[in-house]
Amino acid sequence: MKRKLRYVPPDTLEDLAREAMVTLFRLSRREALANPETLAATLVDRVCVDHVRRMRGPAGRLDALLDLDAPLKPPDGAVDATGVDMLELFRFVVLEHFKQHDAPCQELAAEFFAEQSWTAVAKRLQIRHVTVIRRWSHCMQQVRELAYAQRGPVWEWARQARIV
Amino acid sequence: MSTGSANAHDWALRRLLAYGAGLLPEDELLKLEEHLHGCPDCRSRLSPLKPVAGTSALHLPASLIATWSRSAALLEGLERELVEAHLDECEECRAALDFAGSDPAMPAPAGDDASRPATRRAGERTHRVWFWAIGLSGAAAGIAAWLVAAHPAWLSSDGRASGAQSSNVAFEFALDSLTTGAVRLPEPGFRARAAKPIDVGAVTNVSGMVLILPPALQPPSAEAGERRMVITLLRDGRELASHTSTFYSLGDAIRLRPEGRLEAGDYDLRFALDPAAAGEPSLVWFYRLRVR
Repeated sequence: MKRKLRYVPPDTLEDLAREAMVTLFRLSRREALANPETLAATLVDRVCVDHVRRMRGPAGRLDALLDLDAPLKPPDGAVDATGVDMLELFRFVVLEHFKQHDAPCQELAAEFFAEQSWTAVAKRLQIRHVTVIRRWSHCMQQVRELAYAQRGPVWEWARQARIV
Repeated sequence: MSTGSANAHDWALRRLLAYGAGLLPEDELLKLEEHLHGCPDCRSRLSPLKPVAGTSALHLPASLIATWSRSAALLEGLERELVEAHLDECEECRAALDFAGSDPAMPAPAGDDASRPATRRAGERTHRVWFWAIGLSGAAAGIAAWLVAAHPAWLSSDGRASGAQSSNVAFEFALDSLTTGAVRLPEPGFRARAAKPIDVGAVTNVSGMVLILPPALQPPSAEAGERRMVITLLRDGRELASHTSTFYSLGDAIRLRPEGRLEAGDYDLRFALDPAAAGEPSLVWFYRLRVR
């Protein structure tokens, strides 16, 4: 990890290594890992790339080519500077909210966050594509209302990223 | 790549994050999915937004667990409650926190001196930034409230808000609900309201848009009428115009009158009512308006 992210301070590297290890730990609790060394190396790669994207802010998450050697400057805003993946945290908060208030929305959200494709969600749930999207629009409106009504770093991030 | 397809590609790129978060409006979503179908570049940019294989958004993000002591302390309000509730019932997340060397309990909110870890370097600065940001916002809000209270004339009688960020939409209150072309707003409700936008037709500076308010947007008592109501018109989350007044001044119907013609598209109209008692959250209602 240190070789991949040469300009990242040691404390941040420590956080990133912990993040990779937490994911490995979780996977190991769910199933027996056939090749943990390879998986660990893959997770380290993924964490390094995700870190670079986070440091570049919301738009940076979508860069296809990343220069891992370039010096990184954290994006404006204190939240991302803590090293939390705000998109992941946003998804978690949305799912938890639906878990408490709207189970059908939770099912749709969980499927979509895993698949990143409404077509795939429709196929998996055996519902027409247009029906899934119609159902989801009601859920999405709830999220939008929360994002404007609530305070806190997650909603602030969503507003700053202009996704609500 | 032709100019048209390049524009379509740029348009799609700007919407990938909202798509990944599941928050793209229906019409744009359909258009983007069509583009994704034929654009391997966009598909490749979307794939890193997928969770790592075998993990799920149903559990606390690994990046939050890895930075738990300083990042969880920054969470506020509902997001904090949700994380706390999840932690109470999820053995897996508690075990992951334990594995990462963190106490599997929510740290006290940022700003609480007793909770601040003595040895965290960058996190300390982050706490201070949040502390000052929240403190300054509170002070600014207090000063603004005092100014409005001390100088009510600053809210001019024709309904224009002197403090609005944009003055190209005028707000008129207490209209006759029988005004021609008036659109009746449905009863607000967080759960019950359909997401379908309300068609308000074309909106020009001649007649503007007249909205008949439902009973829930009329004060139930004289005391409630004194509470402050902020009405904001937004587009794509961006504030276009805002007006602050007392609850009772709304009357039966309101009119929003732009200087020219409102561009066609979807707008959000937000009503935010100050709480009845200090410490409670504001009541907020949204309406999605479709302008033709």
